[in-house]
Amino acid sequence: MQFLPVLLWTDALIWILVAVTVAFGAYAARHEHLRVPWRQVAGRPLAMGALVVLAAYVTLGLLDSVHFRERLPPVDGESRYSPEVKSVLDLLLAGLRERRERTYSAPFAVYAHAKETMERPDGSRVREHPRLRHGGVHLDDPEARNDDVLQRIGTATVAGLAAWTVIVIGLVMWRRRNDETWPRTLRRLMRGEEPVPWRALFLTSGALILLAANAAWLSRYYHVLGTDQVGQDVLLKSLKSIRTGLVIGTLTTLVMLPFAMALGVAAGYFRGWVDDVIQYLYTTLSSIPGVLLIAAAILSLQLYMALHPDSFATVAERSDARLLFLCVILGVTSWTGLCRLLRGETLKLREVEYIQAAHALGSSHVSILSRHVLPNVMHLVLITVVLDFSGLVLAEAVLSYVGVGVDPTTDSWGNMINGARLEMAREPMVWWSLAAAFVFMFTLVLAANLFSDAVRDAFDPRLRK
Amino acid sequence: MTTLLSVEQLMTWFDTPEGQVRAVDGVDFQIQRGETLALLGESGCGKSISALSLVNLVPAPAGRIVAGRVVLEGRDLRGLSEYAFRRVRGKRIGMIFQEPQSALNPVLTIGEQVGEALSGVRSAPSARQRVIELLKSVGIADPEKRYGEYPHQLSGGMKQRAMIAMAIAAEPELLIADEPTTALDVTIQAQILGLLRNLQQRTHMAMLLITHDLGVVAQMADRVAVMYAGQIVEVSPRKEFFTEPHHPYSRKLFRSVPGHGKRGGALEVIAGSVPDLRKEFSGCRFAPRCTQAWEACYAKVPRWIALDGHGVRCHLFDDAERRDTQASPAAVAPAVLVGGAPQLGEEPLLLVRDLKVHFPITRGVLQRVAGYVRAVDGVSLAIGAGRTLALVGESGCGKTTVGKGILQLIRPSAGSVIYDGQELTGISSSKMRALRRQCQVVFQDPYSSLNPRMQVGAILEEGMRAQHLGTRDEREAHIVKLLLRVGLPPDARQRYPHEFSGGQRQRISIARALAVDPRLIVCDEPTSALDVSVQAQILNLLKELQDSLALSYLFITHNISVVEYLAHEVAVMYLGRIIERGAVEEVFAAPRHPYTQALLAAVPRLDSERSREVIRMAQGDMPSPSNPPSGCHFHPRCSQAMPECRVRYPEVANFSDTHSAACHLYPKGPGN
Repeated sequence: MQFLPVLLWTDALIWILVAVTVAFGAYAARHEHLRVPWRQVAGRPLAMGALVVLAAYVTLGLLDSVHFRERLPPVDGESRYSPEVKSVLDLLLAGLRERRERTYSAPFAVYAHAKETMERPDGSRVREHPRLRHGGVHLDDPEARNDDVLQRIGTATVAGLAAWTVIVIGLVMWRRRNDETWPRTLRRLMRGEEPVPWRALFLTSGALILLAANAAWLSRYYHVLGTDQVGQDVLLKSLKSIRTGLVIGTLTTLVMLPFAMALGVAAGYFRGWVDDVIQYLYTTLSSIPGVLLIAAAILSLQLYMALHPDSFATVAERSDARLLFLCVILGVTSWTGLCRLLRGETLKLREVEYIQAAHALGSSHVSILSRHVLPNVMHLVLITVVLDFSGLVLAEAVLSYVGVGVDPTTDSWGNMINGARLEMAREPMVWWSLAAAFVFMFTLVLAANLFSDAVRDAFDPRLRK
Repeated sequence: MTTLLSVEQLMTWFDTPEGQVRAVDGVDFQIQRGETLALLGESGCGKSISALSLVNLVPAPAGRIVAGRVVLEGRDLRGLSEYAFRRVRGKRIGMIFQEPQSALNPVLTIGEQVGEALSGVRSAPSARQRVIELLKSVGIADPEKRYGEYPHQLSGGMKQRAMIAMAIAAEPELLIADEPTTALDVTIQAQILGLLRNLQQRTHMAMLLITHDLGVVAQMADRVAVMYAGQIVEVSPRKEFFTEPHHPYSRKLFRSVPGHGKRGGALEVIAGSVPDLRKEFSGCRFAPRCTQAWEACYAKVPRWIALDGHGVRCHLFDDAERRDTQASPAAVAPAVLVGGAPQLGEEPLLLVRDLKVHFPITRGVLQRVAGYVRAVDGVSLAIGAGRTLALVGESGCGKTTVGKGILQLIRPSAGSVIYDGQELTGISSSKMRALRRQCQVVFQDPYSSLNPRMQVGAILEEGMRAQHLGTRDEREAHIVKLLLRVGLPPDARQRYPHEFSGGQRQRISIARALAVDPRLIVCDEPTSALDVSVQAQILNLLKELQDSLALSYLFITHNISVVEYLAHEVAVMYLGRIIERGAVEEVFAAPRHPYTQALLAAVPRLDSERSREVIRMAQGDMPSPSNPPSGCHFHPRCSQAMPECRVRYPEVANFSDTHSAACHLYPKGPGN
């Protein structure tokens, strides 16, 4: 076999999550009380624009979650695999990885950021900015860089527009009704006469396609977002960080949900000593500073890893274990909010007449909890999960900055910011790592927030008729 | 009398995603100075929106007044700016709303809130003086003390009094009272209605009384305007309205009110439901539900026909439209159900002896028990197979807790509940679970008693699943049978509760109870959230089910007319205890306990004159069950209290085999 598939722990969990989401989608499609709010979300232009952005992020994250080890040329007839774990995204971005500089360079730079002592052909030594190994190497005359960049932007934009037009035409063909003229269909879609805001979808996807086309085309010749200390392309690092952000944002909620739901619903439904114990638990836990717990947990994990180096076959596995552990510990420290919310709602629900009626019919506790209580608190769970996501992505950045976040070898926005903080004091300033991490994170969090706002509005019974 | 307010062709529409709802669609009426006009109609007919339109308080932006004139003393209010309108509102037109609980701000004292309503700037001492005067004038005892109290310290009746004080603070010429007593108990309702009448006599203000209760109309109104589907269909002086209503809808309303005179027969119901207000009407709005409708009713919108003193919107009274062969207005005679109720057997199905439900009050860090709320404090009752026992009382008397205690939804503190020879108190949960098949419950609120996330089929199947009855297919077949039984189409099982109206939901609740073939159903105010015409449907259904399935009902209610219509025996509860019980005929013909007498006297009657004697009950509300008065619980409110009443709880005095009461007025005790 050419590849040895590698299933990291986080990969497995991510794909389980994808499966659960798909299953939930299928379930929701068959249940009207779930379908109606989602249809309402689908009708909001801002939410759908945000969804397109989120979808782009998720696609990149999922591509980065299919891992394998490449086969190396056999030695002595024995097949060997490379110790380096790669993902599909790595294959796609192989070019970026190969075009590596020695150290810092600014976006679209032709020369390195730092001066070096160089020997002239005549033997004299000067200190000046050397040409980069890859960035703008095709230019004979570095002065012509701006024209070259503009020209390439033009080419990429035309290509992007062409791709976009193909998509729009495809969609119009799909949505066209019988005996309707093409312009009419287009006008109908654009004017928002359909339940789905196609215009917002077109515009966001158009903007994304143009950006992607430009980035893809330009990054073949330049370092679009510059390079970092070890000369690696910042665009590559930013793209690779997406997976980390998504993993933290989603898997943490996955860890948190069972705690929050089981304990919160149990406390509200059973009252009495169960309630007392659970309240005691979450009051105690939420009065301990979360960062302290996380730091203690991560440091002890580090110690364990240092003492048991054989437990992890590859570097990737080790850093993956740390990422997972971070998710777990973040989840353990963040379930109290939702738990409290669910307890309150369940306290209210258990007195509602349909639950009394279920008691009168002789239904068991399990059946009442699963058929009456849980479906009626699901909207709270959904709202919390979506709202927490963006908070967790930001938390990762803060924790990495403090030094208790993900493994330093893992690409993450937190690590990028942490690495860039010292360079901010340099003259001239190295700003691009920080800026790139900021822009990528900001876009994701903004999209997630816009989307979750729409979800919350759709599921909030007070805002529904 | 001069015309104070005249409304012409008022139209208020609401924009909803499903289209334009014409909530008020061309309403005209006049109110004279000093007169009370009652706006009568069922929920959703647009009566509250009409009132809000008068004072420009229609919820924006969804709702808007499309057309019409509202003329107050020759001045059209529609053209006024919001600023100018604010001086009309409160100053010239006062308003009282239905819910005193939510109409008062919980963080301001009563004095501050009433003071806010005073017009003009007054100095603090004189404003305070005026507020205290106002509070006194609405019958609040000890107004100096109440001035500084917060809404939660006041009872419901007192809050409504404070609301009235606010409404009349600026001495308005017109008072709009939107269901002012619907949320109150009958004895409190009688007090509030009396207060409103007194105020009106003193200040000579006009009143627009919005209500769905024919009894309240009979007591209060000078003229009656009946609304149906956004239009006024009849206007008539009160006397004429009650002796000879003209519009078929008004007539139907009268016939659907339950009462003693209608026992044994089915109540007349208005078929169908209120029309969708989103479409335009090409004919009479009531035609689809009218038994006297003919082609013209569907083809042509009826015009307003003014007869002397009253008016009606019906083709029956339009000479131009009248058919040559007019059908006699006497509608179908109500079908008399065959067979009286089965007699009480020797062995009652349910026997409750000295049932007590006490809730502990805990205080302090250690949650020490500081006292008990004696919600139910020694209730005994018996229900025979196929009989209906009505448990009557005001809110807070513990009647719902009795129902839950019998069903073991709340574990009783003491006493015994014997169902079919089997003791239920202290029984294990698993044994009780099997017995739950036999005793079922129907709740009051048709909206919160059905899980909004479940399809009707799943709701009905729940009991059968829990009791492991039948296979899947058998259950499915049973569900269809149940739906047909309660008058719903079989395809209802794939729909969700929110797609049904209040009455239909209550049918689903009844079907859910019936699904496990119970012998006893505890009906906890099953009709009090419903309109009169829908209530009649549900009562008919309950009665028909009892006759065919020999069900026993414990019917918990505060509605006396429902008791008169449906029940065989009645037990009157006051503060956790039954104070009088007996067969319905005995108790209603000759109530013995002063509380029963006051309760029955407080119920507004359709056939009574205004000057009917109201048995005075001392002011105030029911005391708290956590701290009941010593001796007889009723003595602080009793007009016939004796020194002995303060000391000792009275013995039960028997007047016949079935009729008994606990009161010191009848001291001889058993055997009397």
